[in-house]
Amino acid sequence: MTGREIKKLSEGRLIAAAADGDARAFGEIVRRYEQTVYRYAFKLCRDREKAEETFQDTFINVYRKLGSFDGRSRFSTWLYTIVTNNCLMRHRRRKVREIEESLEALESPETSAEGEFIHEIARWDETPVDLLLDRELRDHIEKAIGKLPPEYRIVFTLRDMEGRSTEETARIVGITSEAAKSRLRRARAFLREQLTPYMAHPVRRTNR
Amino acid sequence: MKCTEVYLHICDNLDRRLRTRRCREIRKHLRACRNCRAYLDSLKRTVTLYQSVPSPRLPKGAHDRLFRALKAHGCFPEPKTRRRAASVRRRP
Repeated sequence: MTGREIKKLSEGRLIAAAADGDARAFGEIVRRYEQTVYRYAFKLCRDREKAEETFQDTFINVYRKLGSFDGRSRFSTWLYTIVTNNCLMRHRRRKVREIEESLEALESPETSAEGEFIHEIARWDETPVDLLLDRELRDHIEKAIGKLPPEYRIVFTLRDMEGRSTEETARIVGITSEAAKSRLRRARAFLREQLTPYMAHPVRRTNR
Repeated sequence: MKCTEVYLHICDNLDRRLRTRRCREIRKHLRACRNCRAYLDSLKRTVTLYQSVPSPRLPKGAHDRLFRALKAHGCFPEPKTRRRAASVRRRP
């Protein structure tokens, strides 16, 4: 097969060719997915060097395991699973227990015995476009997402940043759909809490 | 429907217009409850803000470093590269 023919191959045929040892087919797989893999790895690792290490580990694993890919799930799902596992393996070497306790407390805003919210939920003011570009806010967002334990960050990233469904997210992480929903709920609540000082009282920030 | 139930379910369906009975009840509750509306609105904005932070592209040279790492692991013959790549950054 010529290089041009390989570029035109469907995903299924490309994977089959690479699994049969066609080096150029594997190279084309890398070319098609390298940006996706690196960006997803970066979103999980929050560090360029670790992201590149995860990126390398991922494609080494893909090369070694391609023959076992059975096509029952989408190739991208399989790829996300490998990146996720590589990232989790790196994180398991570090302790991340403290923040998980505070996430438990965010299960829901405080409620009365009747199930109504006790405190008034602060309304967020309109978000002007230039605020999204504000360096200070962006740094704050980066730090907040870095504080999330990886188990929560992975679910938030897959669902809200990569646009994966709850079911696919659960499959990638190896948990039930209910557990994926629960982690997403807590992750969003945590990230919302982190932004509330900015968004509920944006006037204060203009005095800096 | 109570705020706690709404809290548990709105997160799963932030923007989806589902027609289930539960979703109809949630919409009914939201019309009447300012707190839940504020909470839902702030959750949507939270997601939008996090989505707005750009993620970097693959660094220059990372593609070549990958193939060198693959070769170092006995996986893959080194491809012809357009320019001389930096040496493999790491690998045990």
